[in-house]
Amino acid sequence: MKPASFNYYRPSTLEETLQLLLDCGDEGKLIAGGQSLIPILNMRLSSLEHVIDINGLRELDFIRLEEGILKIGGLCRQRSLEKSPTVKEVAPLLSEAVPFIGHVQTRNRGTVGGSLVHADPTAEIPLSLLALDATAIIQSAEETREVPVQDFFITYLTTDIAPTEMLTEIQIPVDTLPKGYAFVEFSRRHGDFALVAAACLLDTDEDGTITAGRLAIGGVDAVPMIAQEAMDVLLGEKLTDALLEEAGQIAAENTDPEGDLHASREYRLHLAKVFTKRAIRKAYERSLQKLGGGTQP
Amino acid sequence: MTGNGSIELNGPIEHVFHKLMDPEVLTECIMGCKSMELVGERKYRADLSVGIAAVKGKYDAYITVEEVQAPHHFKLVVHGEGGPGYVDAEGIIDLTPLDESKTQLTYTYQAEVGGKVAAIGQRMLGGVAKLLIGDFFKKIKKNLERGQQIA
Amino acid sequence: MDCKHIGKPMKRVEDIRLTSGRGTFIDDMNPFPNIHQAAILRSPYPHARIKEIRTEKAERMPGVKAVITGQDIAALTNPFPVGVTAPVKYYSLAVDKVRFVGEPVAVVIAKNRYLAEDALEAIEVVYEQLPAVVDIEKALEPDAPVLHEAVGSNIANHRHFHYGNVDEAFRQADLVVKHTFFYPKYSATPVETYGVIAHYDPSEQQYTIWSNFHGPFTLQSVMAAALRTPSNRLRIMIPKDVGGSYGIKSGVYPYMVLMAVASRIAGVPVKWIEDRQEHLAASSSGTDRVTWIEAAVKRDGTVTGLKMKMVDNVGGYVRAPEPACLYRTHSNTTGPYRIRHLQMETIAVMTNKSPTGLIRGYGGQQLYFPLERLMHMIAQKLGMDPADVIRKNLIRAEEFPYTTPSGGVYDSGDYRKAFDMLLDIVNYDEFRQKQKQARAEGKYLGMGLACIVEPSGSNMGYITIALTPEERAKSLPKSGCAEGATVSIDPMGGITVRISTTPTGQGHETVAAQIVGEVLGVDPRTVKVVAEMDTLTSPWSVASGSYSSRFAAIGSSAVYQAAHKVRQKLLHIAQELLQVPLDQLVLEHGRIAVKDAPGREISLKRLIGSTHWNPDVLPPGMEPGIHETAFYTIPAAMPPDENDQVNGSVTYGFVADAVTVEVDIETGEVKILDYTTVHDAGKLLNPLIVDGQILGGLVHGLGGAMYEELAYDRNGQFLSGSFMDYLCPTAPEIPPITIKHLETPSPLTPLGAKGLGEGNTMSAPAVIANAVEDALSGLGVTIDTLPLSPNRIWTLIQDAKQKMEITA
Repeated sequence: MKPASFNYYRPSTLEETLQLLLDCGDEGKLIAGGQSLIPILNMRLSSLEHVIDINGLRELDFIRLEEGILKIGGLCRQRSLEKSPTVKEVAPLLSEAVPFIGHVQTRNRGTVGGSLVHADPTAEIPLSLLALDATAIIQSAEETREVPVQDFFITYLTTDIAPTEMLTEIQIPVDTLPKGYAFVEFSRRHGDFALVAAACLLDTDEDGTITAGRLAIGGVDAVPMIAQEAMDVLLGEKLTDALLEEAGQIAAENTDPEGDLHASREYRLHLAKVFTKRAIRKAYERSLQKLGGGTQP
Repeated sequence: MTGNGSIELNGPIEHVFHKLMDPEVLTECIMGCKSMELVGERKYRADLSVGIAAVKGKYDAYITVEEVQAPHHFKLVVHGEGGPGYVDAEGIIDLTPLDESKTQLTYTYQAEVGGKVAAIGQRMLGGVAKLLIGDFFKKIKKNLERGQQIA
Repeated sequence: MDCKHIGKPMKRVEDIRLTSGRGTFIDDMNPFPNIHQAAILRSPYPHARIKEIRTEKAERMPGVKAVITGQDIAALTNPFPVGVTAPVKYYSLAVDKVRFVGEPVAVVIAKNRYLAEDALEAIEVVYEQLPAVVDIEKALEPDAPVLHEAVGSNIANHRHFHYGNVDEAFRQADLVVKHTFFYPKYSATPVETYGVIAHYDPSEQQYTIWSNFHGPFTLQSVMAAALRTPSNRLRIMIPKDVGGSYGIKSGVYPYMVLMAVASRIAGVPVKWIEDRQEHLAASSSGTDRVTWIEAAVKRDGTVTGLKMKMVDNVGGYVRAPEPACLYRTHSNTTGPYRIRHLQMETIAVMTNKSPTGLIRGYGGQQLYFPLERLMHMIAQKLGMDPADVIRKNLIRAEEFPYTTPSGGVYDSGDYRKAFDMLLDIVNYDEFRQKQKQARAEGKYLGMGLACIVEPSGSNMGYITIALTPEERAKSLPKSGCAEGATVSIDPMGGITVRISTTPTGQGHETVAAQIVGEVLGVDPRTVKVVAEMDTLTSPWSVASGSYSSRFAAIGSSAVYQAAHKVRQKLLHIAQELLQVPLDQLVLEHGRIAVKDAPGREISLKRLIGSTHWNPDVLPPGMEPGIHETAFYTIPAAMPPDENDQVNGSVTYGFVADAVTVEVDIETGEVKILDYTTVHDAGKLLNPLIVDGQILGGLVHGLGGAMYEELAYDRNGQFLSGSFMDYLCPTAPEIPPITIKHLETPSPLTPLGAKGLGEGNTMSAPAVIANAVEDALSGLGVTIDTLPLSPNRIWTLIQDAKQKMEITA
């Protein structure tokens, strides 16, 4: 399990990095945490000519709250995100999701940007950022563009990022985020890839009517998906067992999961329903709590 | 892995069939195919680069066109071997005319992937296979549409 | 025996080096200059003919010294001998066919592993694919693809056994309970993978192989035969630190032969360190098994007879020591129960999966899963509590030593006592109340019980039960469990011990030091134990090695005997010098003194010194120096008799487990609430080490019950090639565990010790399955297949629901 040889670069500025990316084109790839790329290289599932190590770009490792927007640098380590009091305060969905990612040791290395661009269909960060309606800032030597995360995922491991581009920042508008939140996941063991995961944000008014929300499900398709139809059924209603069941059912019906060694297609469909329901219920209870009413989740 | 699908193509059935038999069209549409050389009766050898995102491997492949029943039906058989493993795929393609200028293509496929890729990537294999095969037909569709624009 | 050191929780001497990065594992070693690295090209196909291999491109690549293929191997080696009559040819590289995904097809020797792997990609192999079969029952069908044409079918071994009067027992039964059980194929995944450093010296025609192999050293003969070399020209050396094995590293021997030949052809020493992908696909594993089991039962719960048909999947090649997987537990097939009538049919079948071999538990988990599940089912059918059925059938204390119908001789035990201890600790009766209450609240709690006999110290003879008595008569009988040890003392009094038990982390150095310290009256920390093994200089025999938990029963006994020889020698010298009878002398605190005569003593240092410096004072006829070797075996280890009865192990322990689980019926997820085990392994030599080993075995059993499987699709494609998909339990998966000990010493070993460490590997799958079925009682779910993944449990619940709706 030794990789094929490649050229290794360690740029010290963003400018240098972007120029390298332009020069390397298709044959170049960035390495940050390396938690996905190193195994792929070692197992020779990929042959890259150029590996560009961006761990020196400290200026991309940040968490900032500016004018109602939570800004996370691409190189921000998952562990920093996990422990950040700012994030816990303004985007607690992320704080709840990150501990599901691998283990402390891998989170010390893995980056937020790396996870988003790697776009594993079961990954927690892509799913959370989708639920949070985040925007990805993508830079190349020639231009900077903004892509809503909702439009970012194309298919398995494939995103709207060209080989010459780099994700430098993620922005989440947090002022208008619904107050109720929940991230739930089902996996075989602690730290494993999720079989199914769901993220829910909900706002309710004083008498428990759902006024706004976002619901996203992961592990059920090639990319994480927004369960809009299920959410629509909830809007304007108080949450009852029957409504919850209906929403869960609709959410599952809109997925198209594959079966694999750990979960058959039928089982995944079932889990999609179960965990969508669990996410909605938890987010609902938290929303009521925030308003001072309702029971503890 | 098995699956099926269908896609509507621009063009009369004979034209579509002819295009599907054309090695140049196949070269353009089969994933990561640089060139195909004829090595036998309806048998081609090609170097394929198959995979998704960074997980790509080079495969030394043989592509055969079998069971030809012009212009309705044929079978495409691909066998590729490379470092990451091997691929054995079979697609049965049926064409039905919708009208003088449109043809319905329905396909069923059976694919087996073995070696390292199967041992490590089983989580995504089914989905990726479905995707890549679907991509092939989408490319065929695009190829036909382009041809018509030129014409 | 009131001991100062034996039985005490002495901290392990190995731990300092292991926890400070100073262990010497095979990859740390560089015993020769100019070592080159090997990389192996492996088959991606489960079953195919090799039409052609082209290596010219690879040979020309930078840094490549040689490329070896099956033709080279067939020219220089013989197929590995194996203990069956089926003419299976197994070489260390595929020769004309590949028979499992991952089978080695070619080897590249290069300056480093990177370059070697680069060259692998340049080797061209032309395969002709053949239909594959991986399912046990399918492989037995007449039209199944056949792996070895010369054999004609996929059956590597097939035997029938009949003890007592089974037909009569079934005729007289009030009830017959039967079921079919499926046990999965899984490994023990030691953290350290296989490693080999091989060197062929043409000037001496000598093969020297370093490896993290650990026996049994019957396999040395197998390797020598394969290499066509006299056995003393095959030097095998084992480093003192091996990163775990649990039986799996017994299967490194084909790779040892492969690298030895590679070294010979390439003309340089060759090192091969296996990576994890290789290890999961093509190292070794336990067998998957289908068991058809039937019990003849009396209305009061007494089981009078058993019929069992067991079919083991040994993979693409049956290789030594298989088919021992079917026979390791032969003597304890009836477990801890008084069942006098037993019928067995055993079949070893070959399919396109990786070849199997030793694994912790070795056949025990495959045996006890059906047996303990069946006891639970019997209770259900009779409307009795499982605890009562178990208790009814347990062998009683006064029946020891107990001879089983298949020839096993259980040396000691008090099964009832241990079982009652268990039920008391877990508040068994109270639990049933809790369970009812929980069900009323919509929670599914369950408790499982399992009682098993843990055999240890295998008798070499048991493997020959794979042959019929007529076939056995054609060659020399096999018996015994011999192990050797040497205790020597140098001129300055430094005590050294050499053992051949090739530890893989069990702390043999520590326990050996405790024993020698005890016998010679010295601080164990002054005793140096050499655990490195060298077939040219260590005291070893065919049974040497670490497997079947033999150190406590046998390995330690060899050390004890050797230490005793030294002790006796020193006492005799003291007797000569002090002129008092032997029984007046005591050895302690570093000297030999006359009882009740203060001042009349000689220091050990002086005694030892005189054997080296002044042999003139030694008693007449005594040799100078102190260098005593003892070989130990237990007479109970006899060859099988003409009735196919054999005592397959010399000591037998007992394990009684109780586990409580909660099942989330919405997801099928099983949560283990707590696990209690009562353990009887005779006299415990070091309680610290013991608990560690029990925990390890238990968690491995948990893995087999819930997570681990070497998965193949039905076309033979290997699917669990990394730890993403081969799931080992990790720290968060370990439940609260309570271990309690009971010691019924073995009358057969000098220290009363029995082996341990494999028990819970064998019992956990059964006890957890029993608990899950108990939790789901009333839902119509029967658990007969492992692992208990949430998907499996959920599907069982749905299927049962549907069935109930149909019949309603």
